[in-house]
Amino acid sequence: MVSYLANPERFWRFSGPLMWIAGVTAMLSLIAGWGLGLAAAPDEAHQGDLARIMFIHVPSASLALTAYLAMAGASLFYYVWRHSLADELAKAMAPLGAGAGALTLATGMIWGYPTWGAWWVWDARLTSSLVLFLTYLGYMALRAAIDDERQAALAASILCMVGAVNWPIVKFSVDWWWSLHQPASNTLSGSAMDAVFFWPLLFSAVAFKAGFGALALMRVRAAIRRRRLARQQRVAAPALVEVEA
Amino acid sequence: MNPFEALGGLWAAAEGLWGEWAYVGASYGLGVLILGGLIALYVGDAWRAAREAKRSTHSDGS
Repeated sequence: MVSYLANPERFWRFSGPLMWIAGVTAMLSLIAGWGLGLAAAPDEAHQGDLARIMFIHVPSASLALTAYLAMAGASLFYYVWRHSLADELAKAMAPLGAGAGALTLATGMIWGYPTWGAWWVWDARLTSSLVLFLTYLGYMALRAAIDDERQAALAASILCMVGAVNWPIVKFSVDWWWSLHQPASNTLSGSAMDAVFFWPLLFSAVAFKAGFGALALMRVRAAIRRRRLARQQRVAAPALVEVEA
Repeated sequence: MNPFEALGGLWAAAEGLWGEWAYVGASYGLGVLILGGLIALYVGDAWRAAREAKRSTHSDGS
């Protein structure tokens, strides 16, 4: 499948409908998730209305982690096979992951102040999430700092792979160390949440992931368009010189 | 009064007025700003790429 999609023309044909399906899924899921979470879900017994922040905080945190995993996979693919599509994909994901990371930190702080009595604590989960966000920023800054496109892609792919060391720390920090942050309520073995909270959370999480997919594909398709155009112009340029001569 | 004190005062007023919903509103407001900004950035980029391609096609006469 990966080698099939490595061809830009095939990727173009495959990604078009997928982008629209993901975009529409994201919109509908967001309406369902935030609608149910803000209007239909009751006050939580201990946290009251503050629990509603969960429907934006948890999907952002999950997306920040998923996006980094996808970026690291694309970077590895680029590092091994030097395929420009993989690099474009990683490049497209970085701002989305950074946005999700920023939103995770901001909404976590807004929730933490009335709940814990502090905007920020140097807890393992919070600190590793901050490192994840800074890694996204570092990735984008590194790309922007190197003029040569291939060198920038190679350096960024190495940084992304090295930064992946932090991924399990973010994910499992609440299990490995004592943490103020609560452990995961939803795992593959089941959910500790009541259905009135679980469904809005699930819809919101689907919306964030599908939206991420749609936007990343949109940017890669824009990059493919620009490369096609550049190639056409390169082909046309000698012909123009001949005409002028 | 420095800007931070002013912001703190504004936040206290919002909390007094809306209680917990001030925190909920701030979270979702930030979410809409960040996600909306990213969507605008990506859609704008795709639109520009499409326009460049279209302009090139027309200038070719094809």
